[in-house]
This record gives sequence, C-alpha cells and structure tokens, in this order.
Amino acid sequence: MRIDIENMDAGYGDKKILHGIDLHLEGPGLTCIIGPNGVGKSTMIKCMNKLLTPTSGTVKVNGRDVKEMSRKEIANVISYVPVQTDDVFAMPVFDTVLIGRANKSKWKTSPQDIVKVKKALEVLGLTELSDRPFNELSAGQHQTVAIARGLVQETEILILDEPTSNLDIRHQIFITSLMHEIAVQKNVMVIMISHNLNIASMFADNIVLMEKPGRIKQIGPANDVITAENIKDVYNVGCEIVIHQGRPVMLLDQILN
Amino acid sequence: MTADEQTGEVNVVKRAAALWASEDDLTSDDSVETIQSYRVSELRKLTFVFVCIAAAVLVAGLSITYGTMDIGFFECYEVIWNHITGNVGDKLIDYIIVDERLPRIAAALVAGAGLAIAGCVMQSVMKNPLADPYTTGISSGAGFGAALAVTLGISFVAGNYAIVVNAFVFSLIPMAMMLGVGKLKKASPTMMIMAGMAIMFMFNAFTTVLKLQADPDALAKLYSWTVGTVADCEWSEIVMMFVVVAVGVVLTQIFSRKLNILATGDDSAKAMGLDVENMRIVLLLLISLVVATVVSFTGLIGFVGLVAPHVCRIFVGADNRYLVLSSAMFGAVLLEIADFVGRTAIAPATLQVGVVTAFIGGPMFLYLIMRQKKSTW
Repeated sequence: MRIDIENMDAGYGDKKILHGIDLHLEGPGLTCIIGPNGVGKSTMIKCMNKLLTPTSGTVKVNGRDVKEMSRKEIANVISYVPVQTDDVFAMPVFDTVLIGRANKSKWKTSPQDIVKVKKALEVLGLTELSDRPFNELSAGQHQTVAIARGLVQETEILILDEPTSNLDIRHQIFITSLMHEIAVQKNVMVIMISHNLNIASMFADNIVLMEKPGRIKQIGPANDVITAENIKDVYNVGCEIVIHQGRPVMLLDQILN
Repeated sequence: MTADEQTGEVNVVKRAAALWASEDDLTSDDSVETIQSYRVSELRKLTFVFVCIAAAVLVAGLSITYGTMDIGFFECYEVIWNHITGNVGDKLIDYIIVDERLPRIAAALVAGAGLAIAGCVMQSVMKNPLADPYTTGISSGAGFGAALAVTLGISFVAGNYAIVVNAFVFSLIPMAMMLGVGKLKKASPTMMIMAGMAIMFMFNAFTTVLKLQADPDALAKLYSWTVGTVADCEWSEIVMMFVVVAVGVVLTQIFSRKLNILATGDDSAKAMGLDVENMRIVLLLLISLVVATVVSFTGLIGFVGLVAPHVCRIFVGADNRYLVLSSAMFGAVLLEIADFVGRTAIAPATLQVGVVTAFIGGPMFLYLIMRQKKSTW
C-alpha cells in the first residue's frame, strides 16, 4: 500500500490552497497530519481519494493515478471518514454503520456484514447505542459512528478528517491509539488529521507538519517534527518540549506576535 | 492520567484492536443472536411493506362495491367476472362498474404510488423533508402548461389532449432547470431545492397572469384541473400511467441501496464508491418523468408526495430498501381512500380528490408526528 503525491497544487475555484505538495507514504502505520487551520490539511486528504481534483501534479495510489481510477476502485482501496456526516433522515446506529459495507455486500445484508458491524461497534464501544437513531447522538458519538463505518469498509488505507475534534481527552487518546494499533495489527495505512499535537506525538509513526500557505514543512517521526522551533514557526506559539516515554510533549507557553 | 490508568487504557486499546483484527466468528452465540435480531428487524419492515400492499388491494376491492347506485358486494365482482368472460348481463351496471368505478380506482392507485415514490426519492436525494413535486416546481410547470392551453389556446397538440401534453412538456422544464443547477460545480442538494422553489414561484406568477386575463369558462376549467381528480382518467391513460409508474418504482427499488449511501453526504457517498452527481441526475430524471406523466393526466394532487414517505419512515425508518416500496403502496392507499371519501361522503355530489387528501392526510400526519417516539428526521 502506498500513496505518492508529486508536485501537487489544489484549491477551490480560483482560490489556490495547496502549493507544490510532495508526499510519499508507504506501508502500514499511523500518519498524523498537523498544522494550523486553513492550511489545506483536509484539501490534501480529499485529493488522495479523488474527492477533489488537483489543479496540477499527480496523486497515485498503489502506483495508479487516481484520475484513472473509478470511484468504486478507489472505495475498494481507501475508506474515508469525513469530519461531518449528514443525518437528515437518520437510521439506527447499526444500519448507519452497515452502509459502510456498500462496496462489499449485495442488496441483501449478509451474516458476514452483520457480524462485521457488530464487531466494529464493540471495538469502538458503541454496542449500547446500536438501536439509537443516529441523529439523537452527541457530536462525539456521531464521529465515533462515522469511524465505525469507515472501519467496516475494510480497506488497506483509512483516511480520517479530524476524527477526534469533538471527543473528550480520554476518547481522543482511545481513538488515536486504536488507529495506531489497528494499523499495526491489521496492516492498514491510517492517515488522520489531528489538532492535538501531544496525542499525535504519542501514537503516530509519522507526522506531516503543514504550514501556510499550503505547504508541507516537514515529514518524519514525532521526535524530529514536534520541536519548539517548528511549533513557533508554524503556529506562532511559544512552547517547551519535554520528552515523556520517549516522545516529545509540548508544554504550551503563550501566543507570539 | 496515572501510569496505571494509562497502562489500563493501552490494554483496552490493544484488546479492541485485537478483536478487530480477529477472524469473524459467525457461529458464536453473540453473532447468531445479532444476526437473528437483525433478521427480525428486517422482517418487521418487510411486514409493513406487505401490509401496505394488502391495504391497497383491500381498499380498492371495497371501494368498487360502494357508489351512488346501490350494487351488492358480490354482484360487483360477478359483473367484473362476467365482463372479463364476455358474458355481460345488465349493460348499465356493467358500465357503472367497469367504466365508471374501476378506472378511477385504478387511476387513484397508480397516481398515488407515482406521487408517493416521487416524494420519497426527492426527499432522499435532496436530503430535505419538504421536497415533493410542488417544492421542486414540477407541479407549477405543469400548471402553467395547462393554463396556456386553457386560457390562450396555445398547445403542442390540438383537441382533448391539449392540456395533458402541455402539462407534461412544461413540467419537464423545471426538472431540466433543476438538473442544470445540479450539474453546476459545487451544486448542493439545498441549492437544487432552492432553485426548484425559485422556478415554482416563477411559473406560479406566469399562471396568475394568465388567470387574470382568462374568461370565466376558461378559469373554471383551469381551476378544476388544478385541484386534481382521478375521475376523468380513461383506460388508455391509466395504462400509460401504470407503465411509467411501474418502471419508476422498479428502478427506484433497484437504486434504493444507493439512495441510502447518498443520504450519508456527498463526500462520504463518493468515498464509498458512488458516482454522486450522476446518480442524483438519473434519479431526478426518472422521478420527474413519473410525476410529469401522473400530473398531466390527473391535474395537481398535492400532499400525497409529501406525506406518504414521512408516514412510512415512522414505521420502517429511513432505509430506502423498504421505504421506496412501502411509500408507493401507502401513497396508493392514501389516494384511493381520498377518492373513495370524495365520491361517497357528500353523494351524489363529489369532492375533488386533491381536497380530500389534505383533509384526511393533514390530521393523520399531525397525529403521527406528535406520537412518534424516535426522531426520524
């Protein structure tokens, strides 16, 4: 499994967000994309599975240009968990997650699909919510259900757009570490956007640090990327870095001018 | 978090990941119980679909036997049987049953199913509970076409079918405009329904201008068409409506899983392999043809398209695999009951079916949305 982005520019209409992105990811593991708001993190991951077409450059998945792949072909390789899910006509949580099996199942739901959904709900601690309508859940539960739907798609690459943005600290740790463990145990490439740098630092195998205006500043292990200098340059925030359990942890200071 | 707690959390995570990485066991007690419980919920939804089908047959069967002329229950079916076998007895009774009652019953069933399925698909595709043939401008386009034929005599064909053909052609214009908006880059379902409403207001304004210029006879004729009725449909028209509605129902049922995927949001649906823009266009095109056909023969019958899918959602939820067919059948029942009430409530006078649908459907819908326990929309 691999994703290769070369010299990619992308944006919306005339507004260019990303500039000359080069990113090469290979093999299982958790990659966290970090960076300030509006820097193009979501734009970049949307280019990986053709939700957005780059204005120039190439995006290849397992060596194939995504432009030449059908949506179905991409869905068989990459699952995607958006930051928000529509819930106008909501189904129970179980059925909502079951939709994620669309690329695997036929019209009639198979026992395999049912068991897979049951397992995903159990893994994410959602079993008790199984019969609850999706639109009656909290924002955090919504996100967790969306992650379950991404999991049951059972692809070799899983992309998550800020999956922990509505979660409390315990669940942020749980989801991020679970993604790391699933990447290891199930041989999956997990790419997720995160704003919690300390949690990303604890569990990510690789960190992609993005900076304005829509560029990648550095890619590498947390110890190389999460530095006081990088944080100051990218976020304009002062901090002290201490090493805890072999990983850098940020002690925040104050906003710089 | 203390070191112990952190270790505990890590163990929870490792166990969860290990569970996900483990082989699926379809035979464990837990799995069997979950599969059975899912099958029970499927059966419950299927039962509602069959109840709707049975209700359509039952209501149609009963309403044949009621009318202004008193014909016995079994005699009605004897007359139908004799007509089929070419053994017609009393020609007047044969005429009343076969040419008066049966066509309007068949027309009500077919038109009700067509309008309901249109509402169901429009609401799901546009992710808007208020989407129906009215709010998407299709009915207004048809109304303007009919007004042109009646008031100014401008029509694509002469004679009896002037209104029908005009209504059909003009009902396709809002659809084409809406699909045009749908083709725009970044067009969202909300943008499409807002475009539909803008088109509705435009056509309504044109129709009002025509009405202001119309003579009283033309105005009365136009008014009667806009209220909507299934009483004037002939067998040839019903067959035409049936073919289009049946194709619409079958294709929509085939696409029902894709409708479920579409409901998760555009990005999410694309990521699950669905060609969202094309799917939306195919479904709206299909449904618009169904509505255009029904409306051109029956006039503007409101409420069924809006309400039938919502009532069915209360019973089967938002899963379109069950919702599509149950909405079609429930719409058929609703319009059939409305027509039956319309021709018997104040007999020998009759009430237009469009008026009765609102009278029956309104309170029933209010009652159901107030008593529902789980939020469906």
